[in-house]
Amino acid sequence: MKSAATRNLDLSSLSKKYMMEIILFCIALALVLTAPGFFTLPNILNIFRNVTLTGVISFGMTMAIIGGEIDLSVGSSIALSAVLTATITGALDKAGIMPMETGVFVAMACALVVGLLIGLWNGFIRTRFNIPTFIITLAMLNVIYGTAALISHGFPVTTLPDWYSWIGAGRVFGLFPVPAIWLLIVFAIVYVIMNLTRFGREVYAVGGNPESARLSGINVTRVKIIILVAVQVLAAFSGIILSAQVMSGSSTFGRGYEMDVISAVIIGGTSLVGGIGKVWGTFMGIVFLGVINNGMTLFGVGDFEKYIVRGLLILFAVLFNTIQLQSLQKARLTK
Amino acid sequence: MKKILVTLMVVALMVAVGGTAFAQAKPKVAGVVFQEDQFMKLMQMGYKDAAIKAGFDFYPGNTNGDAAKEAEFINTYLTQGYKGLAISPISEGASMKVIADAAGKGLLIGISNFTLTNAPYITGAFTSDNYDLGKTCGKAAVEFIKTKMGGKAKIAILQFKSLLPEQSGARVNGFLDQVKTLPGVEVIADQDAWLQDKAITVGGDIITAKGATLNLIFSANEGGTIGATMAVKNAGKAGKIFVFGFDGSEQMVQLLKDKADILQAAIAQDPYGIGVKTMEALAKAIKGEDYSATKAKTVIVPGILLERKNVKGLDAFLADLKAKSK
Repeated sequence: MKSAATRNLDLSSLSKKYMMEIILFCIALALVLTAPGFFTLPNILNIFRNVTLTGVISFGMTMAIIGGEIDLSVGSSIALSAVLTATITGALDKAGIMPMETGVFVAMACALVVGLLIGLWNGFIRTRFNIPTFIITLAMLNVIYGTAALISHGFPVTTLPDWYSWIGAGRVFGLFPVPAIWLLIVFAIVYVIMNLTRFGREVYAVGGNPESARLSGINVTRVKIIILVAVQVLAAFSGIILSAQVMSGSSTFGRGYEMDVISAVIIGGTSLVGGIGKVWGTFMGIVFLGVINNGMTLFGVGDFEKYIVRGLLILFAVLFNTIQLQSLQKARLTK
Repeated sequence: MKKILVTLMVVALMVAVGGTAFAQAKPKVAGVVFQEDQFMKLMQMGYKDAAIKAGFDFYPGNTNGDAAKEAEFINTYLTQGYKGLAISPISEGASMKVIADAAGKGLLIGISNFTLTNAPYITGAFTSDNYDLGKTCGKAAVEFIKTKMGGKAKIAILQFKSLLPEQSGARVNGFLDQVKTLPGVEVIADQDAWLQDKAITVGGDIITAKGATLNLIFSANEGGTIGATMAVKNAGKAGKIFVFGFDGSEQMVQLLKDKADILQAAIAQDPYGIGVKTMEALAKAIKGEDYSATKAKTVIVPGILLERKNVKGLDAFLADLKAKSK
């Protein structure tokens, strides 16, 4: 039989381990009790649909941050992907090569390939010249936005077939939003990769200490390039979902998404120093931000106040993670 | 040989510099907007077409809503000897001091998308009357509420007050002052969402929370209107929630013709016309012609109401828009 002290210790470590879940539960409970229309199935599904665009990228960003990298150009990649999908679909149709209904598949593939190429480029510059991804992707953010604006001439491109809206706005069995299903699929894939594969362990090792990882036989360059490609491909996928929701592609899409994406990852407990973080934590971070945003809208909170709340949340999350990390290091030292 | 090469390079450089100087013999004018949307793009096209027609070299700029960038642009034009500037300022508080200073130093300035208050140094301000546009859209909504909704409506507003409070407020007030004349009308939500993706999210949140009672959304700009319409469609509320909005574009016309019957009317401005008129007045001032008709005055450029029921009007608007966009 456990003593009272052991039980207290168990509760303490459990509450630390599941802090995000506990906070989310408390906020959700408060919203259930106070916000009109919060605790309804359509609203819960709506929250999942709303968080898909940033959520899909967040899982890729989790891989990148755990691997010691970051990508600030994801917002612009959304815009480029959406513009490319709509433009290529329209061009194929106009040239008589294939109708919009089928041409859009080619366009989506092209958008994903362009995302892959951007990721490869970022990875090449990162590993070949040892320039921090913070700087590379900040520069690429402008390049990609400019490219999207050039391709679209600054106008929204609307050449997309009717069926395409299913990808961003459809429902399965007339209930479950299709975007939420994309989110869950991407979550499952990234979760498996990061938790059950050799590559996942390599990402943690590279992010924790690249030199040690290299000495233990891990191809650090390959790992870094793959995680940067993953973020960009997922950003391109998010652009496809957004263009399907809005039924157009515009260079104005995705503005500021990098902030939401990184927020979700940090709130989920991933450390910006690399090597520490969980895909499940990011999932909780995404849901947490979605619930907060939804709750603020239901209460009619203004945009200025929303900025403050979001900013404070990130600050507290970082503070909390730092304190936890410090206490962990302290505990290791005392052992 | 080396001397010959150096001489050739110097000659080439002189020719290039001379050519550039010759090319720059035309007066230089700039056209600056503050966003990258279709409205601003068309306005800048208006600036450009009128500037080229007047025989100027045209240089575009975009401040992206950044007051510091706006001041930087204006100071650059001033020091680089530009003759004139057509600009859509960010706001009265943030922009007019810098504009007044530049005008005081000799830069001729025309203003777009803005109502002047005490600015004698401006060659002319050309704008839509935001309150009036909101009012026109409101009148269309009143008719719709009376005939299709039994005179009752629960309304959600999507606007851009944290981006441009004066414009957003004028549009929303113009709309509300009309619809609130009906006793059965009530505003049940008011949020900021001016980009399409954000409007889908915020619109979706409002619909799921208040979907049982909500039956009309008014959005004060293009992105908000498209986002709100798509949010209604995505939520499967077509035929139950109707949208009234602002601005005109190809996609807006598509939505106004869409069988889903969600977007009912939108008030479109004439950004291209605003741009052309601003640059024309500026050109007169640069050329030393009489521009007293517009000097220090605000000239209202009327908008056009795009309605679902007026298909011919929609087609005509779209054809005109495509011609200007080329």
